[in-house]
Amino acid sequence: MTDEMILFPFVKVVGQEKMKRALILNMIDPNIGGVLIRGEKGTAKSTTVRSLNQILPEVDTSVGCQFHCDARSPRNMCEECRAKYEAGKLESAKRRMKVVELPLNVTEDRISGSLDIEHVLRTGHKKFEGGVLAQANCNLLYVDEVNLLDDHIVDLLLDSAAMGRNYIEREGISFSHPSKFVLVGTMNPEEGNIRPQLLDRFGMSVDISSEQDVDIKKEIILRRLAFDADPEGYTAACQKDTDELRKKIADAREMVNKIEITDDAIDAIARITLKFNIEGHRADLAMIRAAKANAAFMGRSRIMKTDIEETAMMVLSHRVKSGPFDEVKIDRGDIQTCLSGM
Amino acid sequence: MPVRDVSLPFEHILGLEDAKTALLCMAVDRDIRGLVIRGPSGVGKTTLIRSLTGRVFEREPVNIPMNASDEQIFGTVDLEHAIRTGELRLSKGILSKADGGTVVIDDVNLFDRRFVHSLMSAVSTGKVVVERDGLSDSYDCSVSIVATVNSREPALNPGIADLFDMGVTICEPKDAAYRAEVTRTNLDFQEGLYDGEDADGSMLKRVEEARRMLPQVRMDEGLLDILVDLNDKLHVEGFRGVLSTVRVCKAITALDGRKDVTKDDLVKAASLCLEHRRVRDFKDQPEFDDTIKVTITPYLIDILRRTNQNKMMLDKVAKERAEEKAASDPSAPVMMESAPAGSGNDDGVSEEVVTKVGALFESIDLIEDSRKKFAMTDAKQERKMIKTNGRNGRYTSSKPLEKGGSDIAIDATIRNAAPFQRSRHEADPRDGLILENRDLMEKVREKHTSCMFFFLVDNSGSLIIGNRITAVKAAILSMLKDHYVRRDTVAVAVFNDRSIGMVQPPTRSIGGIRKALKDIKVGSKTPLSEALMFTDDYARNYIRKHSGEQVYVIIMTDGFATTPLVDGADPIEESHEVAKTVSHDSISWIVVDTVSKKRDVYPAEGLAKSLKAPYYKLDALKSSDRQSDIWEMASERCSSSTFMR
Repeated sequence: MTDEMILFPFVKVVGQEKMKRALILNMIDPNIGGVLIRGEKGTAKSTTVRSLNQILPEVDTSVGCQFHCDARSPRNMCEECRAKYEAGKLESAKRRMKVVELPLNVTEDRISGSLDIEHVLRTGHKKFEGGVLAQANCNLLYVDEVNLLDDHIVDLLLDSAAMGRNYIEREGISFSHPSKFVLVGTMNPEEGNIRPQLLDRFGMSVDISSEQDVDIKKEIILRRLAFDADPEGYTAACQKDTDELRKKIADAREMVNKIEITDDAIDAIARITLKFNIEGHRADLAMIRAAKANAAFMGRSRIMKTDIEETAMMVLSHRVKSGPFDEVKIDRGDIQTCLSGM
Repeated sequence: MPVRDVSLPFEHILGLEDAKTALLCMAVDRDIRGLVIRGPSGVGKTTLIRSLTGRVFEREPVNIPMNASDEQIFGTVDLEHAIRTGELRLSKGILSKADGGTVVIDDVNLFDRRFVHSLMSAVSTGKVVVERDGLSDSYDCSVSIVATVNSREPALNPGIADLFDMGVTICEPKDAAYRAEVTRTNLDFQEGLYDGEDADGSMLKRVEEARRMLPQVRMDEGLLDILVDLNDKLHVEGFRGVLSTVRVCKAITALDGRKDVTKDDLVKAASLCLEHRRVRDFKDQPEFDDTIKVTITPYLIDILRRTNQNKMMLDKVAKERAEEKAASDPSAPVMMESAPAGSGNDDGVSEEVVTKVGALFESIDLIEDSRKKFAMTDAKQERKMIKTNGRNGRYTSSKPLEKGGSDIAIDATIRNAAPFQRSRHEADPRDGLILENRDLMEKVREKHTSCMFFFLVDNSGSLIIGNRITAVKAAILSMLKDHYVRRDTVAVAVFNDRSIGMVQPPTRSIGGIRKALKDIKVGSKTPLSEALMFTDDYARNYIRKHSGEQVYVIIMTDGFATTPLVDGADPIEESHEVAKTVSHDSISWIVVDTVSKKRDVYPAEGLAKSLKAPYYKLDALKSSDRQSDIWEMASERCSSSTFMR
């Protein structure tokens, strides 16, 4: 894409530290499973997510592939790239990950891909044209107002998010391609809830609220006014900070796989998930990955208690079972108790 | 498709023993064709299926994606052939790719019922019949099917559940050590530790030996009698369950390297095959009365224990058995009729639990009942799917393009035009496909219908007596359990002397309703007629805006109207007269009588009659006063005691 609109710089977003941290951790380890951001309107949800484009890391990508397959992971390649990889002929190049946005009014064929109609009419042969799920592979998929999506669209998303692959069996096409993405959803809880099944697919969730402090509010307005007056200048002024953050994330990505996972940490996490009655194993895995990513981001080479403590809430808050009329309560003290044996 | 590469190897999956046994049985006996696994998300349902199916069956499993159309699954006109030769020929669907192997279908409960039925009939007959697009053909296709259901989603229809040979429920992991071990295994796998690792072959060998052994396995006729009895006592309808159990019994025995089916095999098999077919109603628990022969009681106990069924019932039986043992001579013959249960001395606590759970059931049934009634008046609605006019919804089929239509179904259009391409090209030598107006087809889209539950609460003075308002709130919350699953819309309105108004406009947000209910205060007078008219207006307007939706108005009142519309009229009679005039196809009324004491007349009953609405008494619904209890029970109801709904 060219001529991209200049977006408000990520590093200049005031406050909302939990949301920013959750997003950064997912960039460091995309396997954490994405973030669901819940908050009222006007809490910088969309601004922050869109601005991620500025700090997303570079990845090795297969050249000329319409799914921009990850050149490092043969397991998650399309058949073409995989064949090339096995023949040792895969060309790879660095590419910056990007934010792919899923519009609310998307139709089924645009999301999963469909027949290239022009091609069919011209030649009579079938050809597949990738949809949003193809674009999202090895990228970040952003769904604004995820709670308002039609059920059948959510089902499609779930399918792909679960398998990391998009299977298309329609309109005479039978095809599959990799579709592994960091799912970032935002929603305003006032407008209704999200299906529990989709909820569990998000590795993390953060609840954010608008800033109450007058000084902070003032600061937000001043920054926004300054940005609107001169977007280029404003962005350039904080380019150094942006570059630094990007480098920090890139370094953490290199480091994250070297961080050792101790049995202690795994046991402590199992105690926590059990304590809060979390179903399934996704939470356990997300927690260990989040703790690892947090340690890497902090420049540590091993997981500390505080890594788990800081990230546990993000992983658990949307998974704790409660009646729809109860407020979710997670006691920090409980988490600390579970961690004390570590 | 390299499906298996991305999932954890079977040998490394911990626990999930029932599901593993079930999958191995399918591998041993190809006539065991269906398995449905139900469980919370993230416990490893899909992982397990993918880990095994590609290895022990000769072919890779074929996945049925959520967006597949009927044409793709079952087959349709061979396009290229039709264009080239002008001749209609069947192009087989993706089911044929699974011939001799397995079809995997995740979240089968989210698929269209009609579709699942056709799929299951193809699976059970081993034949795919295609009657569409001018084709009438069929092909052989022997597949087995493994499906998953998320326990948080609305469950599978019982008719469909019955088509699966086996059903396994996976509970959430309750053990920290196990959880930690699963996490470790998964991390190892992510690190690529098991990449390229060949299975040690012991599992494959076991399956192969069992396949050889299978024809020699025999089952004692006595065991078969017991099985038939069990089927009956567990309230399983039909004989599919028995047939499946026999097959699975034999497969389990063969897997164990034996030739004779034992009691344990039968218990294992019955818990795999019968549980999901049981008529799930609390009133229909097996009754351990004197009609049950002592011989089958231990089987029942074991099956119930295995399937985690109703602990209370289990304890009761165990207690009876103990008493029975103490009473009778230990050396007495086993074929004795068991003593009748001790009457009236039941454990008080468990008795109370029954009432509470029952209360929740009934209050939800109230909505279910009227849904059913509604379904009977309009058969189309039964599937809870409606055809939409817009471009949203799932593309399910196609029809000839109507004037002004623009949502063109390209695939169907091309199929339509295909057979004529040869002849048209003779007249017109241009390249490419030649389309004519009559070929054009447009998409028919469907989407789930949703409902609006409109609670009209009479908060006049009579509600104060006996803390009725609390009961009313509890009842509303309890009924909403159903709403929450289906994501319908809820609105709450109250009426008293001061005002008639919406406390909560239609919303899908649960939090809002909770707040709204908290705020309901009690007033004094009851302008029932006015409230009815207000509601009718509101609901009609709502339907105008949301076509295709169904509105359920649940009136919670004692019916003692005090304020008439017309001065001097009898307020109660007037409310009944008004009730007769409000009627709309898409609005169903339900009356819940909040009256607390016994009375000579129940005006709410008359109101219900005038509205042609089902009538319930709040006390009969008997909901718990504390909300948290309701939710605990509701989740219990979902997790342990029920399998398919």
